[in-house]
Amino acid sequence: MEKELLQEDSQIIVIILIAIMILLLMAVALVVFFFFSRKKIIATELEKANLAISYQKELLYSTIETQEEERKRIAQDLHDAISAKLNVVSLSTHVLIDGTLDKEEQAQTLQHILSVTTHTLESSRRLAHNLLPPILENFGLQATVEELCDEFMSSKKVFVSYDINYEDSLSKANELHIFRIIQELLNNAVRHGAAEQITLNIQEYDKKLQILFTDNGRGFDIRSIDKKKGIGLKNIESRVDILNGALSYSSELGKGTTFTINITKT
Amino acid sequence: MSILEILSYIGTFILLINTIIYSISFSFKKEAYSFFCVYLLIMLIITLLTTYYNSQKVNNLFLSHYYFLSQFILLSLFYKYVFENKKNKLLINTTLILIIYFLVLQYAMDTTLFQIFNLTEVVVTSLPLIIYSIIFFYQNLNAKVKFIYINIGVFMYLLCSMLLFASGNLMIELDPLINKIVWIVNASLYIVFQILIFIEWRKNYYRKIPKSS
Repeated sequence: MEKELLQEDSQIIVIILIAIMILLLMAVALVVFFFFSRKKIIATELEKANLAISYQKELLYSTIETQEEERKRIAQDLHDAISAKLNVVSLSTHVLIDGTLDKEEQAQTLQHILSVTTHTLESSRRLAHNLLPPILENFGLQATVEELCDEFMSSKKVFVSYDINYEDSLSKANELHIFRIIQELLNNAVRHGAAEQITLNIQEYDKKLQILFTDNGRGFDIRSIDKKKGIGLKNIESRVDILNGALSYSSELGKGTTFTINITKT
Repeated sequence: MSILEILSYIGTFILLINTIIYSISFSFKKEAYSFFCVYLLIMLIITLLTTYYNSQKVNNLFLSHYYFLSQFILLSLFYKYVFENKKNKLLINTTLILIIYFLVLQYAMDTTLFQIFNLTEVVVTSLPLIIYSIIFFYQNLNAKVKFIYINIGVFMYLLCSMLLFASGNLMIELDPLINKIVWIVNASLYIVFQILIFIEWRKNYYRKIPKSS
């Protein structure tokens, strides 16, 4: 009788022990699961952070590259349009100082100097204008963009039809970004796309600004551009980013390009 | 000395060490840490009292109620300050008040419960803590944080000991020779729990002790 009772007792103990073992096993499994999941999640987050860093780096490099290119262009412009002309002026002035010329030749040289100086002045004005159009400060975005389009049209190579409806609702800094975007789009269309027809549409709604840009240029393959973007396009993207806007574009080889930029006003 | 006694002494010894090392960097500003220190101290006092009463051959079962209740209150407060989410804090506060209210009511209605392992008390004071530890696991999936080893300890020990203590009344009726096995398991788990608490201190607080020169 006592033996049977003892056996019953030990059975209960065994059941309790098994239950504890199972609980312990489950607890250990959960802890192990926790550590493995955490490792995985942290690895993914690290990867994401690295991706963001590499994107930032790329952006920084392209910014530096753009800056260098711009410097090179300005140096070239200064050299061609100003230094070379001023050299001519300097030479002519030396000739005048030497006093070996007769009166008629002197008058001619002076006339030449005057014309070269006038040209140089005009060139320096244009250079400064290209760097930062003073009209943007004084007359706002709409006038500046219209002037830019007219300038492109004056080359006779391209026809730009524009419809701009904008009422100074953005800050000056943001207006400059929009101007640069449009400048880049026009440059790209003419230089890389050899477009002949360009349509630019800027419309302002309640809380939104929409820029629609279409050209009939060569276009590009969207799939390949995703992998290797030019500095110009990257520039546009970062500026749209700064404006908290959304950029979308569609293009096909030989069928032109369409850019749509939506900016939410804050 | 039996195996059970040796294991119990080892557990108590590590608890004593933990209480001392945790008290060294005690600060009222670190609420969660402070509540954990107080928890260790109270556990140490209860364990020492249990041993004392046991040596005097006095029934020490009534101490289990202090053990469960103080463990529940102090670890709830510990988790309350560990959690940053306001919803979790509210959950802890509400649970704390409801369960204390419930237990007071239960003891007021039936004072004889004080003489045995109160099954309801074991479950309602352990289960919330296990749930808090799971919430803690979930919330810290994406970061390396303090108190993770303590949390593992609380989770594993409370989960298993809940079952052990819940079957406590049954054990007392069984042959003491056999039921010792279960208490040996409990003592071993308690040692693991204390070692985890020690690891927590070693990993996160060891170097923060101000050097006295």
